[in-house]
Amino acid sequence: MLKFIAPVAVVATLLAPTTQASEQNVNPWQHCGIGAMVFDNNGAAAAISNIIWDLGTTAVSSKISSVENCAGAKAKTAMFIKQSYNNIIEETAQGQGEHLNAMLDLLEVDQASRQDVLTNVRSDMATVVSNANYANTTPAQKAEMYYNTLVARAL
Amino acid sequence: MKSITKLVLLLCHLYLAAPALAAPQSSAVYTTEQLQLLATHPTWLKLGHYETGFLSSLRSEVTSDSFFIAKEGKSSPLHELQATISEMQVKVDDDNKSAQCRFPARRLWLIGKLPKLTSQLPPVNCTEYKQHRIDNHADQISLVYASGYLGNPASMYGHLLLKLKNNNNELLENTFNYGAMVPPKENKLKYITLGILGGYQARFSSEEFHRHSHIYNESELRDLWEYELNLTQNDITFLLAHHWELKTQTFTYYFFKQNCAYQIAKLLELVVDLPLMNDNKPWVMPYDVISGITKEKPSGGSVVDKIRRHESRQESLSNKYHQLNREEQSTVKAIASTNSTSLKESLSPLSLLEKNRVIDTLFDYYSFLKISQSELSKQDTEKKRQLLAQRFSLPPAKTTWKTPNKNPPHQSQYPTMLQLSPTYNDKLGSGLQLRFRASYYDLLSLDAGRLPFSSLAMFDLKVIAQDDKLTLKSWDLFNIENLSVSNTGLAGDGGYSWSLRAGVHNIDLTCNDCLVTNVSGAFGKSYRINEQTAFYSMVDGRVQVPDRQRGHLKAGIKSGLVSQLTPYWRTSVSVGYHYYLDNTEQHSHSINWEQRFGDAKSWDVRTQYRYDGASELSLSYSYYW
Repeated sequence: MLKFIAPVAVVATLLAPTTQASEQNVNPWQHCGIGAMVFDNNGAAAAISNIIWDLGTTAVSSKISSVENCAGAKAKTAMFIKQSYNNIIEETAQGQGEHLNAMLDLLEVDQASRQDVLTNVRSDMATVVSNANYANTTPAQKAEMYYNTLVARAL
Repeated sequence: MKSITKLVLLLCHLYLAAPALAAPQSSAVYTTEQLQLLATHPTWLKLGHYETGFLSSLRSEVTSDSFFIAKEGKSSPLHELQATISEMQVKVDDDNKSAQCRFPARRLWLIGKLPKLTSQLPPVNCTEYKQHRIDNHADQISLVYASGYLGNPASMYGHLLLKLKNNNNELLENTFNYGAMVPPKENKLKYITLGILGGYQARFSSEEFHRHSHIYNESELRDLWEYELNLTQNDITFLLAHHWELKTQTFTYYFFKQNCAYQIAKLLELVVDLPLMNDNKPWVMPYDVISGITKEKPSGGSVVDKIRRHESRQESLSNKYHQLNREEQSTVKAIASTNSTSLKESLSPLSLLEKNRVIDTLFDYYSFLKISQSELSKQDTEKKRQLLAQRFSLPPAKTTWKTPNKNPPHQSQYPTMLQLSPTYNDKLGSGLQLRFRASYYDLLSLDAGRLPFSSLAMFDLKVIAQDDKLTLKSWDLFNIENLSVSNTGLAGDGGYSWSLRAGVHNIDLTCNDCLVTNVSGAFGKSYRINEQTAFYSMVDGRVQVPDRQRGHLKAGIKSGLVSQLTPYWRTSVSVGYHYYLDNTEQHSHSINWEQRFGDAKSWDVRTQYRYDGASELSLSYSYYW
């Protein structure tokens, strides 16, 4: 993993562990337990018992952060990226798409700066994807890298 | 009949409750007569979810106590009404805990029916309900139908949910879903058993639409059909207010009746002047509700404004692939073939637009493959990476695709069948066959919005009247068949077929009183000859008891063809050859040729020729509802 991200300075910086979990500085992967989550795709019946979108419960189960920290835009965006990474990376390569719009809405990125954010994220992710080791990373690692890239470019 | 029972029970309740009503509280607000009338009002009964069971008296289907204000509220709409009116006039310390804030739909309905009540209500500031209204703001409501899924028994009949439409990004629009609260990783057999017998509690949940889009379109490869409804803003407010009342309430879940379709229909029936469930059947299916919602209103016009399809990845792949020109298709095939290694080389002869179209189609292909094969191989993972890298290296551009015109699922045939067939058997003579199939469809049915070339039959019973005797001919507990034909010809895209069947059948056509209990299964290949025709060939096996002097284990091969020749004419022919493995001297061939004529939802005419030791001919009239 570290070998893979080494040539990508911007991403390497973004992956550095966060030491504080203030509301503004929360990293949902480390502080809200998103990294360890397994998305349950077991259909309608499971959906209702599935607590991953109940942000309060998620935060409590992680025993790391407060409920409020993990109920904000960043945590929601992180979970959305983890769930829909496949659509998001495809749409990022295409340059547009409804998942990208939803992601920027969740992160509350203002309309005026969206095009710039997308252009920069596209450029960063192009570098990431062009590295042959990209294929060896797990979906969760890919989603986390994408999230960190997005947050660095958008906030 | 059901409504008469309900009325009698209600009158009994009113009679028993009469002393309590002798001196109405808030005397200026209502009279005793008014109260009694309101307690039997259909809307009040709907708001309280009062129903009479097959053997039980009138009772609310809500199982949580917090839904009722009166002690007897669960079984007495009258007491609940009286308590609601009284409680709404009480000022409590925390407004959010007041009856007005907890039951905004009841409040809305009551002030419409009892205008004098408004002046008696203390002012309240329902902050929690207000926030709920903001979070669930809707300009329009859609009924969303997830098509059936053969990969999970609980999902074979599809699923229903409501979508709250507003000006937000569609993926972030909220939905109301209803389902059983099933513990994670529940054993499937236990899940089915408890689901059927009422072993789970269920409730409504709210999730953003992307959750459903992800689960259905991406993970289970199912289409979502969105029926946008024509409701007034008042209707929407009333419906959302009742959803707030139900937010934390629980019901008992029953797979066959009190399921997602039932509760979503109940919620909609509050504001839609149409019966959304089929009262002639003791079960409720999602199909019944989408069929009901598309019927004309008594006042004229339709509740449905527009129907849209959110296509699955598999459908998206198929649609894109068939819109590619020949060179683009060849490139897709070359890249997808396992031998292909040089992506750049394959793409180089194409224009920029063509490259984008090919790559976008392959995005769908590998996303589909990842689901259908559980995981991508190392080689395919690398190809997907290269495709992404290629698309990143090209200027950002959107590719445009035509939306294919597909018939929505409510246009398919009604699921329950009653069939009458004069029959002639060259060994047994003529007879009259009666068939009842509880659900759902077979290879010959009108299949709009369903898996093409598939069959899902449950509780299929055939009896025959012959020589003044009525005998059981066959009974299928279930009979599932799926010819998963390839839509694109790409590796991993369909091309197989399977079937599973369990029931009781005559051992062949030479006898009538020769039933065997059996379970059979088959697996093989299927090929799409054209858009309307599929060919299949399967190895199949059957275990049966008793052996009837033939054997317990039967195995062989079966091949067939299904074709829709015109919208009014579909034909299915199959031939088979089988041995008894434990008695190899017994072997035989069989033929089954069946045709459907007509394209109505409620009837068709069928002919059938079968050979299995004897020849049998029948002409059937089928009625569906």
